[in-house]
Amino acid sequence: MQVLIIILLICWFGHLASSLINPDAEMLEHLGFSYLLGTGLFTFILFVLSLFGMKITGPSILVVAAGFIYFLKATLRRKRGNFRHKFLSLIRSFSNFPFGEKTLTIVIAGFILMSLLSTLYWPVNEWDALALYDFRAKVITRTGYFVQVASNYSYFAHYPLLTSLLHAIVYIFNGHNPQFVYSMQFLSFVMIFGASLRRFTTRRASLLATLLVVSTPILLKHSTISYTNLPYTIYFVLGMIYLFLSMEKQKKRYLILSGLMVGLSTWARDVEPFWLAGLIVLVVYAVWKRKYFYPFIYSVPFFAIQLPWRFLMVKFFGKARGVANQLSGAAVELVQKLDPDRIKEILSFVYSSVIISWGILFPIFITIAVVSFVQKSKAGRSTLLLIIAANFVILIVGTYLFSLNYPGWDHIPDSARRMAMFFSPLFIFYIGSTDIFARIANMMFFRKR
Amino acid sequence: MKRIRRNKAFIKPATILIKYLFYFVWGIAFLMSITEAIIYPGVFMTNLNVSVYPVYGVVFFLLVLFKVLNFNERYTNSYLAFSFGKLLSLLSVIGYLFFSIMELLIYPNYVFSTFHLHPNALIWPLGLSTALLIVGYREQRLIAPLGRSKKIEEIHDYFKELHYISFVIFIALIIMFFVNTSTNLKNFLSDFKFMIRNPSISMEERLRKKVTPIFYDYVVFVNKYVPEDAKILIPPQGFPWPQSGNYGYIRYFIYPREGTSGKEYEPGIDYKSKGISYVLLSWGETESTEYGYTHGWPKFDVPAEWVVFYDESGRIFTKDGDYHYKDFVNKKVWGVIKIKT
Repeated sequence: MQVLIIILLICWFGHLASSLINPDAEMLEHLGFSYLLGTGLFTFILFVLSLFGMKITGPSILVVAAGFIYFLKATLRRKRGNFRHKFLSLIRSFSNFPFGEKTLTIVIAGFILMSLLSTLYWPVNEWDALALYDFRAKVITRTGYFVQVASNYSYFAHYPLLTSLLHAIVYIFNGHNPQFVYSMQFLSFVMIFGASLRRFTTRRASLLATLLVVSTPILLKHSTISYTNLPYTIYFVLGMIYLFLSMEKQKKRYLILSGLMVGLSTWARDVEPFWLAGLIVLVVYAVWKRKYFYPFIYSVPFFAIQLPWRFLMVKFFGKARGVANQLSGAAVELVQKLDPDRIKEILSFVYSSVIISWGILFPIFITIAVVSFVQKSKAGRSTLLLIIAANFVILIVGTYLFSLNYPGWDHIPDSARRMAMFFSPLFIFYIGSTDIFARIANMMFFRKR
Repeated sequence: MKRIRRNKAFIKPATILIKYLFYFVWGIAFLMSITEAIIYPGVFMTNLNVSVYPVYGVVFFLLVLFKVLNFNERYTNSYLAFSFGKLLSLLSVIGYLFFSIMELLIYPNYVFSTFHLHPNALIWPLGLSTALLIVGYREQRLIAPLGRSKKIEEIHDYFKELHYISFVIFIALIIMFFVNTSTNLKNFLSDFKFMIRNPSISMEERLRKKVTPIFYDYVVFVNKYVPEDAKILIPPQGFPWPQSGNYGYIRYFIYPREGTSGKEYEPGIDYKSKGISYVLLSWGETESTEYGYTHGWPKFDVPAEWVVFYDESGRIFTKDGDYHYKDFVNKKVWGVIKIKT
């Protein structure tokens, strides 16, 4: 019961934050962001406060939650009853869905339920979760600190604290099993994915695409285990989607949301360099469209989230973990150690470990992209293709640089697969936004339009 | 006007040339893809030092070039390519569906061992036949009316505005969903079977099932006999001690007790200076071994106050005094040694 109360408080905080950043969002987006922004930002705030010596206990968590809720409510000065009205109209609209769309929604809900039942039943049991993420939660729960005790343990401070702090919050409030947080993240992601895709296509097409996402085996599997890959994927994919939305709809608040989400992805995992892709695409876009302030609007929330953890890493492990150092080092290595044979090996590794794992989704994506390009449709010129391509380039370059420094780089295909997990939902979002897919959705529901 | 005429004069022969070049390269690529699917992916690289991927790349490059040059479809008649592509892509899609699902449902490598076919490699013939289809693409109706049957007319109405490409992608998406659902069932079925049979067992019992009873029962035993402020010497990291010998892993179960890794035939550290007061006694969690390790640890004598251990049947034994390895050789036991202070 206590766990439920604190999760609801965190969601309330997230809902207020979402209302502040993106007041015109659809109800499904609001609900999804309430949880994702709430848990992401709240754990980040706890971390920052603990850097200044705050002990992480039940009372301190409640005070922080209450304090930020009060602050945001005062800032927003929202009218009462708005949320309830929107929520009820969402329920009413579902009851008016045609039979086919209702069935799709129920099937999607079925997958989420499958994930939730699994996480409620099974305790944390995966290797890395026990060795690191949940272990840190145990230490934080027992001692109230992280930074102050990190030097007492080896293999302790190597990954950011999003998931460990979420686990710790559950344990501090007398919960026994924190795994349900991942199913909730998955549910929130699915809601936002469907709602944002709805801007580009019909409701039945967005439901169909959402079904494809929710049934993607690697995503569904990771929604039932306590790894950082799914939270990273969720925040990153949403960051890329809102980056795309900001360029399509020319709305700066989507840019802020995108920067925040990509920043929170680095709060889940900071090893992967894919955050660079968003910045590169945005700089290219800014120069092309002469919107030179766009990268700054994006960078402020992004670096506000990324840098505090990086600062701590530099403190623990030296300057080599700093952002500037890593980027400059990577650039030098790339120029000095360019080896065509190694590039062939990398491409072969990426094909066999990553691309094959995408199965038939990748050829579908390529086919639709090529056909859309040939037909000169809007989807063929979509900036989302540029975002996906930039991430793919980062995947190749990143793997190449990794191979230069780690002899066993090609012995961990599983790790490469998990790292590239975010491509599948991005492919599906692109596919879902095309006219071809809308026609297919109509055909499946035996509708002409 | 003259400039436009000169450009038009160039485009037509260039388009036709690219088309035939495409057919030629496509033929080679398709044969290569089928060969790799039947023999094994990489057969050309191994035997001829020729990679198939540049050939596939040339095919798709020529496809894009052809479509760009022939954007208004005025210069070539590619009905043959369209029909052949239609047939091939349907066969490829059905083949990929059929063999991939078989592979998932029966066992990995079933398809190769029975049909000598690599199902994953069928993606390339599928992609190439789609490329051929795109070269010959027209606004075509998939199903022409087949007479005056009302049902046929109804089906035709649904597909009336459907392009063939959309239909191929529709089939591909059905395959994808079906394959994904099969994978999800495989991932979750055994867990859900256990959940239905054991709905109300404790969280500890559930964790015991997941981390294996051998290891879980052992750490419960260790926690019973070792105080919370103690430091423990654990086996070296590697099979047969993948769990009890992995400090990062076992610390989760023994926390707040701490652990340090020892070596197989010696402690590797000074007990007193490191504050070690207990040593694990572990046969191992697995049958397999690595790095030359053998079952049973520690394989060195330990000056001890007592040793408490249990065997496979669960019977607990206590022995006062020093631990002598020779008394425990080939004994399948697990326990804890209290170091003499």
